[in-house]
Amino acid sequence: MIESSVMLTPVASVERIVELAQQAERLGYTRVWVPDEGLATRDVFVTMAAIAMSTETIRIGTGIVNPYSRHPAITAAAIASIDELSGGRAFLGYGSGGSLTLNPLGITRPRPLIHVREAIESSRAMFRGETVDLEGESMTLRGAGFEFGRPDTEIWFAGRGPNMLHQAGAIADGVMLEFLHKPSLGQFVEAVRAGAETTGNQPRLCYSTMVITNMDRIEDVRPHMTYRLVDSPPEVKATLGMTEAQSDAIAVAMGDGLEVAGRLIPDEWVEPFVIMGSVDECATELNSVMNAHGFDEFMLVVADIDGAHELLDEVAEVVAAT
Amino acid sequence: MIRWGVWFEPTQPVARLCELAKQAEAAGAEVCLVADEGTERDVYVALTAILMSTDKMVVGPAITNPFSRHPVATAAAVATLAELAPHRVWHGLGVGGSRVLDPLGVDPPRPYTALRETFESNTTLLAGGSVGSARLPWFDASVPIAIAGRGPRVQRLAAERADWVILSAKGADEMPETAVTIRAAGDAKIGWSAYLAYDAAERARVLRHFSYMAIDAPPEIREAAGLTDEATALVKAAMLGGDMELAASYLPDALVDLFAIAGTPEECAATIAGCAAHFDMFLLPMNNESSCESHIAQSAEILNSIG
Repeated sequence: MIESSVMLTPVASVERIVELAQQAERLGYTRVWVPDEGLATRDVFVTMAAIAMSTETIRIGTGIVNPYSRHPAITAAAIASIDELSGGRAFLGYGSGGSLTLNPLGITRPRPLIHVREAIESSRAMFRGETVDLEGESMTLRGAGFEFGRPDTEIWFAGRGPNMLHQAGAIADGVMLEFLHKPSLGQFVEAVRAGAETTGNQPRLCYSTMVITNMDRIEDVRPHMTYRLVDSPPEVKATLGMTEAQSDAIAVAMGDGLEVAGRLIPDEWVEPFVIMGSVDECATELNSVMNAHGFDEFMLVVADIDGAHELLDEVAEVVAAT
Repeated sequence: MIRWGVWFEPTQPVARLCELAKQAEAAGAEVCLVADEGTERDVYVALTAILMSTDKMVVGPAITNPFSRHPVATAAAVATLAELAPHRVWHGLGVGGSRVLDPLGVDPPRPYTALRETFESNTTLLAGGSVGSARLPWFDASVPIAIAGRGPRVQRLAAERADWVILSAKGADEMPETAVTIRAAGDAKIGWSAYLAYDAAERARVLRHFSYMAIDAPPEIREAAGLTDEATALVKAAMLGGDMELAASYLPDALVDLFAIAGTPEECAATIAGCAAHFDMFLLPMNNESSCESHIAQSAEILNSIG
């Protein structure tokens, strides 16, 4: 059986997210990832703290935070605080942040590679209990640190840019590849492994996507395909048979909301990004993808928080069948 | 009875802060403020846990600053707390001090302007409004905003526009005039925070806390306290070296009489009672980590004895 985790985006109240985390824990999911989507969602650390107070065993991490909205030392201290509160169950997930999160804050995301690298490296030093002095390119630290960190607190990275993945392979404890075009997965994994070779690092690899055992759920996925398809590289669009005109039309329709734009996405553009079919078919395909690329863990993306309760049950069945 | 609350620095595990908050609530505290001390325990993690561990007390970051997080990220965190526990959250703001900002490499050129802009943006966001393209689409409650600070501009901003002004390390003899100034400027209620030194042991513990005040205070306040620039430099050097005991050794003992409430328990109660008309909430800071339980218990006796 593969190790599985779930991403719960706090688009609903903290109480609702806590209930889902408790359910995930009962069902055997080993991690809950809480994304930081800025003002669109509830605060990531309030949500994580509430989960920590209400669960016993499930690991709790950011999925992901960026190095811009909070000072990275503040983020590291927050993770260590949750780790202490939860009896050693916290992990830190970094990414470079997206426009949904950063645009309303007026943050332009300068030099993301350096920001992420300095954030990961300084966080790791602080988790080890070191007092950090850094005249970095993205930030300054003067004797920053804390005494309540756990030295082996995991630091993950999630993203898709080849340089970012190469860097993450070199320095992160784990790399999450989320919602990528399945036929192109090999090249993303290769970028991580090439980076890992430069330092002798052995990052864990997590594959993440949506799982659809009930075909009604494809409607939940369609809106979330819009920005992902528009942002996909030209070769992925070409493989799908998607023209630039079609891509532009989706981008324009996104101005009227993701639901509206989602109507322009046919099933055959969804299928190469998700695991879809009966429970047994999904289990077989999930096994196949995980084995083909040497993934260590799987993370379920929950697109529709209203239907999350049933989805967690359905995907637990799929995982049990792997 | 006077209204009172407790004020913690998150230098202790969050689980312990929760136990102390429960004790304080049972003893009559209405409010539990937690300072944002940079790389100490995260203030929002602590506040979430305290909210979930207590029944009715109001909590808030007090204070947080405009620099360690993007100000609207702070607004989102406060709104999340307020959604989790309606009517039980304050948003405390200040300019931040060197203890918090130095390790982060933050040396704000215009701290007052940053505070004012953060106050304005977060007031709007927490009231359901938009600031540029920023808004909190899922939040529709309201959150009182408290501003703390020692400088006259900050106190004026708080008095004129905030819901609460928090006065720290303000001696009892200064309270009447300060309250008159604040109440003349606006409708803000007054939270008065002062260390209680009701015996010799607490007096020694209280003095240590004036190191930060000494290095962050405006020059006129240092002068009034008899703190020379040389002594202030020695305090700062000792603090940077991590030796808080040494830092405190440069501080004049008279600071306790100036800025704390000192005397026997009965004298402390009488001092606070004498100021009762000049504040709306007394905020009790902790003197010493390991003795918080007895400090809360003894202070509660003093505060609850005031008619």
